[in-house]
Amino acid sequence: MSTWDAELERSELSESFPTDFVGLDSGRVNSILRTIEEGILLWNTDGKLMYANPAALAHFNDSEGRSTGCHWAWLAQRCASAEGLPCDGECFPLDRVLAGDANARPVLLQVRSAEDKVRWLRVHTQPLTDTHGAVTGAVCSSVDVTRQVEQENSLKLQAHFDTLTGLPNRVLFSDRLDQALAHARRHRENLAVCMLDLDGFKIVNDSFGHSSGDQLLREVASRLHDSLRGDDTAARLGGDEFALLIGDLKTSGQCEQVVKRVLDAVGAPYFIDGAEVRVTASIGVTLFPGDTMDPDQLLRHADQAMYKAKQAGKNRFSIFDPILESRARANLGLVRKIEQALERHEFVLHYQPKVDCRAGRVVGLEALIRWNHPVLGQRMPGEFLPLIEREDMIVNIGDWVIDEALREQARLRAAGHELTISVNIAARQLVCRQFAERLEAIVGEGCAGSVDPLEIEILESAALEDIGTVSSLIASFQTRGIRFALDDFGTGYSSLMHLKRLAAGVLKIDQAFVRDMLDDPGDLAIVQGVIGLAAAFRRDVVAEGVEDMEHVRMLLSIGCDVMQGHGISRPLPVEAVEPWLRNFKPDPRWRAPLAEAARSGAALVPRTGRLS
Amino acid sequence: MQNPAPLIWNDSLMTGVPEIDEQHRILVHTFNEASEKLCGESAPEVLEAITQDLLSYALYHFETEELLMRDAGYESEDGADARRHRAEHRDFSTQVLGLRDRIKADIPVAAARIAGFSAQLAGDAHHAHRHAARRLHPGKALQPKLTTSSAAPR
Repeated sequence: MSTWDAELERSELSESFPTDFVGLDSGRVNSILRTIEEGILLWNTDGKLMYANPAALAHFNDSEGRSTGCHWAWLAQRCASAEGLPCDGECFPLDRVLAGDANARPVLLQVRSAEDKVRWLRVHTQPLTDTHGAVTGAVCSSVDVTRQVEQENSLKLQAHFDTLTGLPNRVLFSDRLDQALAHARRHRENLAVCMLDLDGFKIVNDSFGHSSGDQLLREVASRLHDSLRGDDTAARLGGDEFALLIGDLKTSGQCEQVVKRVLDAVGAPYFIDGAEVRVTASIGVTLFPGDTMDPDQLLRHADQAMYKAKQAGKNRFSIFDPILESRARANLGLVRKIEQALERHEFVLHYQPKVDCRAGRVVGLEALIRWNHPVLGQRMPGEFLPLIEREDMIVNIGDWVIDEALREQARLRAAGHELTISVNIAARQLVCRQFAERLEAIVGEGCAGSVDPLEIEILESAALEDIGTVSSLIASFQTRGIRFALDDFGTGYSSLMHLKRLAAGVLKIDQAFVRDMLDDPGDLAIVQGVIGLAAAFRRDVVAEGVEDMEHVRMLLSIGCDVMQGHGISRPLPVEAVEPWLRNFKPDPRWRAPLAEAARSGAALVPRTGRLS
Repeated sequence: MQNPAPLIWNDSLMTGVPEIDEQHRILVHTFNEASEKLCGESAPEVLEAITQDLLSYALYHFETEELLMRDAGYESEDGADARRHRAEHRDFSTQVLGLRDRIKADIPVAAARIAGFSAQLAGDAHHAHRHAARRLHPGKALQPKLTTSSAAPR
C-alpha cells in the first residue's frame, strides 16, 4: 500500500464538501472545476447562468462563454430534446428545480457541435440551498454520452430494422401492426395487412449470385417504400418475403389501388450489374375489420391469401375471405368427427354379392362401408369418404375395412362359404409404403381357402395419381393371392396405355353405363367396349349397377357373366350375409338370354373368361 | 347459362341461435359460389371442392340442426313436420351425390338443378327459423323471410 493510499484510508471521507481543505477561494474552486470532464453550470434564482466550467461550455458549444449571465432559455434554444423536439421547460427543468424540486431526473439533450454533429448530453439539475434550506440557485452537471447513445441507437436499429434493406423488420412490423389495429378499432377505420413474396427471386439469386440478389432486394424495398403513403409500413420479414400495413382505407377499392400500384412498382424492370432483371410479386391481403382482431392470425390469413395468389399464377393479389376460412374450418371439424366415429365404432360394413349368372354361383362379396351416425342415421360412403380422401384418416379407415372384411371372410369360410372379398382402397393409401407391407403380411399368412383372399378395388383416377407405384404394387401381388380391380371403369380416361401398364386382373364397368345401356345406345357401346377390352387384355370383367332381369340377360348376351347390383342383391348387413348365401339359388331366367340381346351383342363381342 | 339469382344473407334469415346462423351464413356463401361456378366453365377440381363443401355442410349442419330439434323436444311436439324436415335433409344429400356423379361423368349441371338447391336452402332456413322461433318464443310462430337478389334490395 502506498503512503498516499494509506493516508486516504485513514482520513475520514465525508459526503459534505471539505471547505477547510479547499478554502472558499474561487481561484482554487475554479482550478478544480477546470480539470474535470463533466460540465458544471451554476444558476442564480432568476435562472441566469452565473458560472460554467470549460467542459460545460464545450458541451453546449459555447467556447466563448456567451451564455454567462444569460437566462437558461438562451442555452436551451441551442439544444433539442432526445426526440429532436425544441427544448422547453419540461426537458430543461431549471424553473422547476429553482422552485424547489429536488427530484428532477437527469435529461438527455441533443446539441449541435462546432463541427455540426449531434452530440448527446446527459444533464442533471439540482437546487442549491442555504443552511435554512432556502433555494439560492441551481447547479447542472452535464456529461457527454454521445458514444453510449449512438451504440444504443445502433443496437435498437439492428433489433427493429432489416440491415440489408433498412426496412422495419418482423419485430417492428408486429409492433406497428398492434398499434395500427388499436388505432383502426378506436377510429373505426379499415386496415389492410398484406404479405408479399417475390416471384422468380430464386432464379435471380441463383443465376446472378447473392450480391446481385441483395441488390435486387434493396431496390424492391425502396420501391415498396415509395409506393406507400408516409403512415403505411413496408417491412422485410426475411428472404424475399415482405409485409405491408396499409391504414386509413375508406373502401376496399382503395386498398386494391394501393396493392396494384405495389404490383406495378415491383414488376417494373431492374438493372443490376448492367443486366435487365425482372421479378414480380404475389400479394395476399386481409382486411380489418372483417377478419379477426388477432395480429398473428391476420398475418397467417394474409399468408394464406398470398399462396392463393401464387397458385392462381403469380404477379397478382388475392384477398383473404373469412367465410371461406370458416368453410375450411367446418370441413376440418368434420374430419375430426369422422376420426371420432372410427374410434367409437360407428362404422360398419355391408356386403354386396357378386354373382356369376352364367354359372349360377356367388363368386365374391364387395365390402361397402356405412356410417351409423348417432344423429343422422346410416350414411353412405359417398357422403363422407370424399371429405377425407386427401387426409391421412382415409388410411386408418382403409385399414379398418381390410381387417373387418378379412374377419368376416374367415367367419363365412367357417360356415362353408369360400368367397373372395373385395375392398375399396383410396389413392392415398395405395401409395403408402405401409400398404405394401400390409399386403405382404396378408399374403404371408397364407390363404386358408381355395380362392384369392382379397381383391383391392381401385378407382382408375386413383391409380393414375401415381401409376408407377400402383402398377408395381399390382405386379408384386397379383400372382400371390391378391387381386386388383379397376373400379368404375369407363368413367375416367380408360386409355389403352394405362390399361397396359395397370395389370389389374378385373375391370368393373361403372354402374351408370349399365343402368342406362338398355335405353342409351352410347352407354351400351361403352359396356360392350369395356367387355371387348377386357377380352383383348385377358382381364375379367364385372358389371355393377345391375337393377333387373333385363340387365342380367343383356349382359349375359354380350359376354359379361359376373355382375352385382340391386337386381341381384342389395348390400347386406353383416348378419344377413350368411343366410343369404345359404339360401342362394340361381334364377332360372338367367339361363334364357333375350333373343334380341343375343343378336345385338353376343355376335359382336367375343365372350370373356369367367371370373373364377 | 343464366345463373340463378344469388341468395342474400340478411337479418330476416337469423334464427337467433348463433351456431345455426353462422352455419347458414357459410351455407349461403357456399351456395352462391356453387351457383356461379357450377353453371360456368370451372375446372373439375373446383367443382369437386364445391360438392365436398356441400357434403360437408350436409353432415355438419344437419347434425347441429337435428340435435337442436331433438333437444328442443320438437320431434315429440310436431313429429310429422320434424320427419318432413329430416327427409328434406336426406334428400339434399342424395342430390349432392347425384351432382358429384354428374360432375364425374362430365355432364353439365343445369342451372335449374342449382336453383333447386337454393330453394332447398331457403326451405332449410325456413324450417330452422320456425324451430328456433318456437324454442325461443313458445306459442308464437315467426314468419320467415328468405329472399333471393331478384326480390331483395342489394
